[in-house]
Amino acid sequence: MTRSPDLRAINCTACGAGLDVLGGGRVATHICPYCGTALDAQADYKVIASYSGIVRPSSPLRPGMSGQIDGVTFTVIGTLGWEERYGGRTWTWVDHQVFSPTHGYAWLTVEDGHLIFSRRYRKPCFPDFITSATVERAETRPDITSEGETFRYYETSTAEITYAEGEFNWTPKVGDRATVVSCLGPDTMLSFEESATEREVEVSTWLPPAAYAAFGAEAPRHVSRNHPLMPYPQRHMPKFYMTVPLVLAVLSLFLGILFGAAKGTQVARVADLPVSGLPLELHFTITDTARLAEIEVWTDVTNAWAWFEVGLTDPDDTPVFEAGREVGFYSGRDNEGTWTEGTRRTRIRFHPETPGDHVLDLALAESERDTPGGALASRVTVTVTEGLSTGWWLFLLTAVFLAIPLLVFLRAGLANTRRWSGSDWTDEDEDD
Amino acid sequence: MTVFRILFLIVGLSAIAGAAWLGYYGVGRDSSDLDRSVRAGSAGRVIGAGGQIK
Repeated sequence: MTRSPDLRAINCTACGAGLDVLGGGRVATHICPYCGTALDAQADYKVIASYSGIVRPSSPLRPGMSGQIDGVTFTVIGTLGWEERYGGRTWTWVDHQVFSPTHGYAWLTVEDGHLIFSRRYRKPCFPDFITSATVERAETRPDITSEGETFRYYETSTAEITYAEGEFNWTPKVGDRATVVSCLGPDTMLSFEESATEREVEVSTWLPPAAYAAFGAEAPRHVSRNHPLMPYPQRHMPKFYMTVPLVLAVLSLFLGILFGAAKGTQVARVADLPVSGLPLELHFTITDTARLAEIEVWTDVTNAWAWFEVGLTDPDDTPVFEAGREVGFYSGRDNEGTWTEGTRRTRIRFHPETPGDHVLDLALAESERDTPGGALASRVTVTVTEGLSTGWWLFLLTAVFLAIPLLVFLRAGLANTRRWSGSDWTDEDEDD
Repeated sequence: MTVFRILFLIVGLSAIAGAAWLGYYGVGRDSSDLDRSVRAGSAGRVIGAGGQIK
C-alpha cells in the first residue's frame, strides 16, 4: 500500500496531534514528536511502537526547515539522535533525514558543530563493501577505490539510536544499533553501514557554516577544531610553490658554484720559500678594488702548527690591516682507520681600498710540533689574487628557496595529521 | 597565474640578482679577524713581534 502523494497533514493516530507530512511518497515511518509513537506511513498510520520519556537531542535544525544544498532544495523531515560508547567515552550526534522532490532522500548530520551532508552512493567500489570484520583482520590500513579515488580506512563506529522524531524512508527504532565503517578520501568520506537487515554505502561531504543559515538555523557556537571532512586548505601542495622555488634554487646554486669557482687574477706568488727567508716583503699591484682580493699562505707542517703574522700596506704606505693566523695539520691512524685534521693553508680575504702598489709583510711568529714525529714549517708558498667573487650569498639563497617547498610539504603533513587525528586505526608497530 | 605568483617570481628572481651582485663583488665576505685599527692613526704593530704595540 502506498500513501497518497497529495497528503499534506495527518493527525497522530495515537494522540491526535496534527502532524505535517513533508517527506514524499516513500516515507515508511512517521514518529509523532508529541507522544513518541511510531506510525506506519504505508499502512494508514497504524501504531508500530511507542517511545516515551526520550529526550530530544540539541540541534539547530528541526523538521520543516528547508534550504538549498548545491542548488537543490531539501526539507528536513526527521531527526535521529545517536550515541556511541567506547572505552568509557561517549560520542553523540544528530542525523536529520532530508527530502527533495527531485533528488529524493539524504541526511544532514550535526556533529561537534559541523554540518555533514550524506547521500546514497551507488557507484562501484573495489572491493564492493568493507565490514568491521574486514578491518579487524587487516594488517595494514584497509582502503577502497571508487571513481579513481582511494578512500582509506578512518574509523568504525557502532552507535545506538537514542531519539527519533518525524518522517523516515525506513523504520528506525530507538535502541537499534548500526555499525558503520568509514573510509576517508581526498574530499569526501564513504560510509559502509551494516545493520541486521541491510547494507548501504553513503558518501558524505562537509558543508560550510553558512549552510545552517540557508536552512534558517543558527550555527552552533561550539565547533570542534578538527573534522576529517573539513577542507584543510593547507594540506594541498600547490605545484607552483613546489616546483618554482626548486627551479630558482637550481639557478641560484649554479650561479653560486660559478662564482665560487672563479679563480680571479693572480697578482703575486712566491712558491716554496724556505722559512729561513722570512719575514718576507712581497710587492704587488692591485687594480681591482671593487671585488675581493685574497692572500693565501701555505706551509708544509705535519702534526705541528705554525703562527703567521701578516701585514698589508697600501700605495700611500698606510697600513691596511694586520692579522695573525695559525696553520696546523694533523694526521694519524686509529681503530677506525686513518684520519686527518686541520689544514696546511690559510686565506685572508679583503677589499682593497686603493689601487696601486701594495706591500705584504709575512712573518713566521712561532711553529711547534705536537707529536715527536711532527714536522715544523720549513717551506712557505704565498699567493695573492684579486678580482674574486663568492658563491656564499647564492648558496644561502639556495637554502632559502629549498626551504619553501619543504615548508609547504611540512604544512601539508601537519594538516594531514590533524585531518586523520580522529582515526581509530593503529598500525601494528605503534602497538609495540 | 595569480598576481601573487607573478610577485613571487619577481621577488625570487630579484633575490637571485641581488645575491649575484653581492657575490660578484664579494660583499660581506672579508675576513673578520683583520685588525684595521692600525689605520686609525695608531703607531701600528711591528710584524714579527707577536702583535705587541711599539
